[in-house]
Amino acid sequence: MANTRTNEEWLTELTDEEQPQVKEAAIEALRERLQRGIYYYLSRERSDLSRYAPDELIQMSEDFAQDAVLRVLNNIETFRGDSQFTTWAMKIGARVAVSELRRARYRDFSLDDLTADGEIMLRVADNTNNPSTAVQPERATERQDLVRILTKAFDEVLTERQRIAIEAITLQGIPMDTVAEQMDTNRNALYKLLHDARKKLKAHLEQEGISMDYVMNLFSR
Amino acid sequence: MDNKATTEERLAQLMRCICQTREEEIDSATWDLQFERVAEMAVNGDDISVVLPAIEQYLSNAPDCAEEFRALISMMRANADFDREAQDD
Repeated sequence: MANTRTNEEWLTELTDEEQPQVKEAAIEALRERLQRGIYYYLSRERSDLSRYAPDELIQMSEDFAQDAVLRVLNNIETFRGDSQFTTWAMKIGARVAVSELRRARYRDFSLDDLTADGEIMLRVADNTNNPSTAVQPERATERQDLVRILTKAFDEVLTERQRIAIEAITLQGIPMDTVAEQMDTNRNALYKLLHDARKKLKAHLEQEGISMDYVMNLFSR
Repeated sequence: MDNKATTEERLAQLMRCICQTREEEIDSATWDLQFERVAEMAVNGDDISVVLPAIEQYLSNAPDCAEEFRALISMMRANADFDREAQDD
């Protein structure tokens, strides 16, 4: 069913306690939209799910959509009306799907698995000499020097929590929510922690006389 | 950056993020307030990196939010395609 409801109609119908059939029809229409969108995302955008058969992805998308509908209904009073209602509802659906997939993937991850101070950075520095990286030898040496300076900065200017956050999130690609949970914080606070860490590292590089243009050029795509 | 990025690519990304760091940046709470509106702009064809560079920078530093943003865009496009086909019928 196409989206023919206005925001006001969605809100009225989804909360219509006097006409259960109207409410049920609106809930079903919303569930359909969420499931369609989530299935499309899982089947087209997530190459890591390619091992799943279409039936399994359909089931997965139905489960996520069902969960999302409940969250939409439980939080409907927080809809501010500055977008289409369906966009707001799909945001909730997107977060349910993405966070559930993350949770499953990183179920066994522990921050304790991260290596000791500096090891990750130094290993990366060594990799810059790997022929497979196809970087000019002079450029590789410059990168290596810069990484050593940054590694030192990790130890000298970052707090333990900042270092762990940067290593886990930026260097190892661990989701922020996974790291936040294990650091007993939330995504907002973790983002601020990362921002402070980046500011400190930038200031340190500048104090060492390294220009940001030089760094950008050295690590350009 | 996707989950398949190598550590070296992530290091390069960290270096670029450090270079682009500003004293004041959009935070997660601000992003939460703009998420849907930015998604609608993107689906309507706006280039977010041009129209809202501060948002683009935020997303490059917040991979979880970037992933959710891509998921929302994908979901919106799927439903927009469906609505168009339903109208044509």
